[in-house]
Amino acid sequence: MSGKDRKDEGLSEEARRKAEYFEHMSYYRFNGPAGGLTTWNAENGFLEARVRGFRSGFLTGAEYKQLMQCNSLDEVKLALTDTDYGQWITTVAKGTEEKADLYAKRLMKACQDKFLAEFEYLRMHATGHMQTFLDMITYGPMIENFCKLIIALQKTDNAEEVLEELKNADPLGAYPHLNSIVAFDKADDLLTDLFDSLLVDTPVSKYFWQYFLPEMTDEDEKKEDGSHALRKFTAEVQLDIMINTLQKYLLEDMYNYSRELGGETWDIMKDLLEFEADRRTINVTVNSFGTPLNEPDRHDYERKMLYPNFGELHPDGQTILSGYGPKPGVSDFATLANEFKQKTLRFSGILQDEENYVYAMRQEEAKMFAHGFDSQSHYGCFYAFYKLKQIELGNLQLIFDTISQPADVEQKRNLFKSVTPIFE
Amino acid sequence: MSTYGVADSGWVNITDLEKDGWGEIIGCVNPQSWAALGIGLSIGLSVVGAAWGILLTGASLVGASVKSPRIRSKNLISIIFCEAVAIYGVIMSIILISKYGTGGDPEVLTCRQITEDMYFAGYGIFWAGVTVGLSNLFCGICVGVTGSGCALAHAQQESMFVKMLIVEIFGSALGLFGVIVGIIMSTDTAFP
Repeated sequence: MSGKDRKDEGLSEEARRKAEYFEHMSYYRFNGPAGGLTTWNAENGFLEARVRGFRSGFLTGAEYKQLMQCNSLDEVKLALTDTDYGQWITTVAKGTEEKADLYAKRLMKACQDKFLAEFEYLRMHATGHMQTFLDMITYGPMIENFCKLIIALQKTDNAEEVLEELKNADPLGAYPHLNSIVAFDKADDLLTDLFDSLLVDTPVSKYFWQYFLPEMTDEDEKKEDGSHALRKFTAEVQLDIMINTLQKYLLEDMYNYSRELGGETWDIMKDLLEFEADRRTINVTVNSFGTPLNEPDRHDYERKMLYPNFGELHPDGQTILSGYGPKPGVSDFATLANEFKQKTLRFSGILQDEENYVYAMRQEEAKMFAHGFDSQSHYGCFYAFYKLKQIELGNLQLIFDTISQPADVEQKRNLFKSVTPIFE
Repeated sequence: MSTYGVADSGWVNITDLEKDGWGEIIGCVNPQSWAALGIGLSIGLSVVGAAWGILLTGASLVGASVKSPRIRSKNLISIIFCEAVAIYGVIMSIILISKYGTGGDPEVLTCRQITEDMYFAGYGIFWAGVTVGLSNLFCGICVGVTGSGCALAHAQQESMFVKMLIVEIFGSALGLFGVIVGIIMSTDTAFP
């Protein structure tokens, strides 16, 4: 397989031999092509049908309307029992002395548990390519969990506060030995210690490896065991840049894997992932306005490293983003919008309106990923299911938060504008 | 002068087959073995088609009916269409077997003793079997793929079932065409 070399990077000799042995012994059908209309169903037909069943469980526009008309969280709970969330939400008890946001938190957790149960069902039944694909979807949350914990470790020595952070970890990216992260002290070479002992065994180690690799090229002593070279890599790395770079590597990995799978999967995933890449490009740029990363001399090297190396905006759009400087009197956002409009690049329409930009982007995302359910016999519907569910959980979070705070009708209406309809 | 068993008039000279050799490769094979092969292929390929179709439809049907149990009864029709394909194969095989005849003379049949009737019967039954088998194979796959789509669509929307069923009916007609052609092909074939 063409991806073999990349996967084996960073493994010790013994680990490499073991990986080769298991790959050699595995049945051909797990490593063969994913198949088209006539053969896909044998391996994956059941799970695809399950996912399409989950698709029919998304909240519709009418249900959102009903939720938005509720005045209290009790009414919201009642409204939700008629939807697909019914079974999960009825077990949430209000409790005696209730602060509204605690109740809201519990309701939200019930909804998240439902999604988690559905996704884990798919993952537990998956084999072969499907397993790899679904695992890759969970690497995103896993990277976020690790990075959040690293940030917590950087801030404080107190083990309990780090454990608190652990409770907020995304359960989809669960890793069995995450608890052992509290054993690390806040020290100068925290990152290298962490990588050597904990991160190198995780499935996301290759993204960390890719991230560290460029830093190691200008080392005087290049040892065979690359871990020693990491010692000079101090904890001064900017953690949010690290998170974004890791997510970018994950996106590129998914793109390459989808290309390997080929066929219908590639056709669908190409569009979805290119949208993700372009969105990441724009988001990174917009979020960097007002931070040191926006200075022109940091455009080309640092900010450009955060843009994925595929997508409609690559390479022309990305070159534009690092070419212009801030104009006096005009906000950075407006300059960006102008550049895009002149060259009629993707998202130029969305960028015109700065206030509603986030909401409009989410709308585009919902529309795009609804296409993930087109056609049959491909893995794209699983990725689309994950993404759309995240949007729906975001909608629910918004609804719960808005209703639990006492607010007047005008404010509510404004906040409810940001609820993104899915499949409409 | 005849070459490779072909007489000057252009017709195959049966008695020269043995002399020249190349014609023996097909011409001297016992026609009843061709017939037996045809019967085997007709039932074998039909069953491959039916099985393939059922596996395609069944996986989707089972998965989709977890969320929408109402589709269970109606979508079994897709499975039945696939099964019908195998039944066509069985019917055709039984018809062909009735033309198969008995083993004939206990003496070994030499090439010179094969008559035109036997050639006609042998080749006719073989190709009738292949016709039916191949057409049922592809019909089964077709009905399987459309049945899988039908199950998934029906699970989402109630009204989709009847529309998708029309597609399946057209698909299953293909197997019927094969059976009709096969029956006509093998009508007058008979081993003496």
